[in-house]
Order: sequence, then C-alpha cells, then structure tokens
Amino acid sequence: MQRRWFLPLILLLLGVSVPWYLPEGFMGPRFHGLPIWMWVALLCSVLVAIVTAVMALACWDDDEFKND
Amino acid sequence: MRPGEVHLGNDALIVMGIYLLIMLGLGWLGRVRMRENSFRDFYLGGSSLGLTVLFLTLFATQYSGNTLLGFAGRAYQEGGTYISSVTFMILVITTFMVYAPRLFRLSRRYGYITPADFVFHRYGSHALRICTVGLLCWGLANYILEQLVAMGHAVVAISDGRIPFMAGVILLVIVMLVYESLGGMRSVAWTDVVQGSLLLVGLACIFYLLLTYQGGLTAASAAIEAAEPAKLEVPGPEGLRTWASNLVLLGLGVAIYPHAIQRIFAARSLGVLRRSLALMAFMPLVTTLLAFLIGLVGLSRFPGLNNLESDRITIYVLTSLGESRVVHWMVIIVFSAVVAAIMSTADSALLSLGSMFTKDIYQVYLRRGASPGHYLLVGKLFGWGLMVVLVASAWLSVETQSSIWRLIRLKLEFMVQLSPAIMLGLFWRRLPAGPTLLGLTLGAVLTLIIWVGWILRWWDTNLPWGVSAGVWGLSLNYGVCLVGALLVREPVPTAAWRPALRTED
Repeated sequence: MQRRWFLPLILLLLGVSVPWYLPEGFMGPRFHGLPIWMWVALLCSVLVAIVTAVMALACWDDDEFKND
Repeated sequence: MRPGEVHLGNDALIVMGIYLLIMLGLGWLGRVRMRENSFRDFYLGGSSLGLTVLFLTLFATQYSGNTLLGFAGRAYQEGGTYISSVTFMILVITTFMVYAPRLFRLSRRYGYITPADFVFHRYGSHALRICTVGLLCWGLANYILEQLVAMGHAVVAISDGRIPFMAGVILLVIVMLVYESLGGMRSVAWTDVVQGSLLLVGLACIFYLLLTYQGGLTAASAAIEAAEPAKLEVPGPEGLRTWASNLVLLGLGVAIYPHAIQRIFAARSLGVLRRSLALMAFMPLVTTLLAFLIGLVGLSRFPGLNNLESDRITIYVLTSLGESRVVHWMVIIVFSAVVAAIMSTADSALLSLGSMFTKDIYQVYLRRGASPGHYLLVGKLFGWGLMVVLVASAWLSVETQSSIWRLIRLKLEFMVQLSPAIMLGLFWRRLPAGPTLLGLTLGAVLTLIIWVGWILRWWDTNLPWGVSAGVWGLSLNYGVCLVGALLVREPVPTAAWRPALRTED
C-alpha cells in the first residue's frame, strides 16, 4: 500500500521537532535571532506540511472514490 | 513606548465601515443565489464549493481571532517553546488528510449534513448522537465566546477606545447574524473569501513590519536574552511532555471542529477537497508562525504583562508601529484582517451550531415532519438567541478577567474525546457503540475531574506530569474503546452501516 510510509514518517518528524535530545537550558547558536533548536522544530513542521501536501496530491487513491 | 500610544484615527473607522457594508452585501447576494429551502443548500451551500472558495473559507475559518491574539499572547508567556503552535496547526491538516477522504465519500452517498449524522449512521445509538452533539455544541459555544472577546479588544483598538468593548461586540454580532441569516453557508463562504483575502494581505503586512521594525527579530531576541533568557532555552522534561501533549491535544482536537468537518461535506468534489487541504498544510507557516513572532517581538518591547494583558500583545505591537503614513495604513489593514479573521470563524461556528441543534436535536426529538422552511427558521432563531446569551457571557468573562487561552483549553479538552468515535469509527469496523460511548464518557469525566480539582485547589496543576487533562482523558477513552471492542460481542457494524462497508470493499 502506497500510504504505508506516511504515518511513520510523520511520527518521526514530530519526534524530532520536540527537542528531548538536547539538555535542559540549551540555547546554542542563533540564526536571525532564533536559537537553533527552534529552527529544527520549524524545519520539521515544514517537512510535515510537505509530506501532508504530497499525500493529498499524489497518494490519495482516487480509484477508491470512483463510484462517487 | 506604552501600549496603544499611536492612534489610528478616523481612517480605521472608515475602512471598517466599508468592510461591514461589503459583508452585508455578500449576505444579500447569498440570499439571491439560494436554490431551495433545504438543509443542504442553507448549511452546506448545496455542496458546491469550488477550489478558491473552499480554500479561502477553510483558511478564514481555521485562523481566527484566537490565532492572531491568543496565540501571540501564549508565545509571549511561554517564549520559544510555543514554536510548537506551528507544528500542531499543520498536524491538524495532516489529521484531516487521514480521515477526510473516507468521510467525504460517505457524506456524498448518505447525505450527511452534520458530524452527528455520521455518528448515528455508523453506530445507530441515540445516546452517542446526543453526547456528540452535546460535546460539539459545548466546544463551539466556547469557541464563539472566545471570538466575541477578541472582537471587543479589536474594536476598542481600532477606534482608539471611542467605541466601548461591548458596543463593538454587539455591532459586529448584528452584522454577522444578518448576513448569515440571509444566505447561510453560501453567504458565510463568500464573506470568507473577502475575509480570507484580507487576512492574507494583512499577514503580508505583519511579515514586512516584523522584519523591519527596530532591528527586527535579531534585536528582539537579544532583548529577550538579556531580560528573560529562559524563554529562549530548551525546556526541562515536564515542559517537553507538555509540548508533546499539545501536539496530540490540538492536532486531534482542532480537526474535530464541526464547522471544519462540514466544509468537507460542502466541497464540490474530492479533487477540490484534496487540493484545498494541500494548500492549507502550508498556511500555518504564514499565520501561526507570524503570531508566534509577534509574541516574541512583543515580549522584547513590552515585558511584564500579565496573562490578560498578553492576550492583547498583537494590538500593543501593531499600535506601536504607526510612525509613517505607509505603516499607518498597513496597521489599519492588519486590524481589519484581525476583525475579518474573528468574524469568519464566529459565523462559521454559529452556522454549525444552528445546523446541529436543528438537524440532530429539534428535527429528531422535538418536532418531526415539519417543513424545511420551518426547520431553517428554527435554526436561525436558535442562532440569534444563543448569541444573546454568548454576548452576555463575553461581558462576564471580561469582568472576571478570564484569559483567552484558558477558554480554548477547556473546550478542546472535551471535544477531543470524540476522536475515537469519529476517526477510529471510520476505519475500524469492530468498534461497537457501547464501548465508544463508555470511553467518551469516562474520558470526559476524567478530564473534568482533573480540571475541577485544579480549580478547587485539590491539586496544584491541571497538567499532571506535564500532560494536559484532555490527553489523560483521551488515553483512557482510547483504552476503553480498544478493550471494549475486543470484549463486547455487540452485533457490529449496525444494520444501517453495513451497506456503507460493502461499497467500500
């Protein structure tokens, strides 16, 4: 099934977006004023959006709906 | 600089006046284009919404006064960890993506008007239908209340305080009720096109202003680091659990909003629906993210605000920007966009509430066999009556200094308990009505106990172990559904649901 990769990939991205792997109080280098861990969370969000859009446009099985 | 120092003058009032007249004109146009006196035509616009209208009505409905005011206020209070708001708003669309296609197809085949139509068709349980309507109405009424409070704040700011809080709320509510009563979903969707477009233009203005405003984000971040560095640091274990819990609560809870589900039913075709959702997946990057950045800029400029004041941080930031003529007009556009976002969400929620009361309660349990015109009139009267109660409640909530964020949490934590009944029910045939109802009830009761205990000071948090009460309730809810489905030998699926399953095979 072509949608099998969808949920694991989303869960992986969500897991990385929460910075549980960094020590408490970590700020790290900053880019345009925002610490790096915020950029990682933002990047993961962008990737979730891309996966969702790809899923909507390319992976919805329209045959499933042909009788509508 | 103190909040609200720069005034917008009469220009803002003139723009608002023109905007409200356009809304009324579109309401009248929706009335003219009505095809018939039916639930489908009034509450779903005849299920004829094309890509542009569907996308803009989804956009304008999902992003509300709460996004621009409440989310910015929350980012002000929490700091960097509220970047999670971008993730959970995208996750809402991901959740839609999982269940919307199947629900869309069933709605076409079986003529669903409300989410409870699906629930009753799927489970054949009156008790479950009533609980579904009860929880959704509770959530929506709370949601509208939150929009009314935001309306009042916005009007006070636009008019430089010349229009009092409650007068502003009442004026906007009357305009909203008039255009909604005239053309139902068609009027609401068309006004959403204007409101959504205005919101996009307003957001572009915010983006420009934030990047150029007195050193932009870099200067704001440096100021926060100097005053409150903890708000730019990675949180501790409890903060991380709250972050993950918010992803679950909002990612699943916001996807249950009935006015959003009804937009699935209102789509012209599956292709239109999926293209709209694909576009919607990116919208948090231009809305929620900007609200988050406003919160950070506000934190650097106006430190030390309490919870209620921080709900107004967007207004404080915007009114402190009007130094040149161009910026002055940009700020006016942004304020109009804020009002548009608030009204577009409140009108959709109100229409949905009216449809659920009329279709799921009045028509089934109070008066069967009346004419469609009678039911539509009852729905409109219910909407007007409810708004009187909610306007009074908005006044009370301001008097009691309730924060917008607290209201959202209270509604979502209950509404999310419907997630197993709707999402699991769509995909798992063995799930029977009994355990679903029991899970929903126990989940809601556990959530309520945690909240009530916190309010009565039996314990000192509504986030045990950093996890929100609604997520604790939801865990119990899913557990009961799963165990119950394995133990209960109820004939599933219901007779009404079997044909739906056969056509899926």
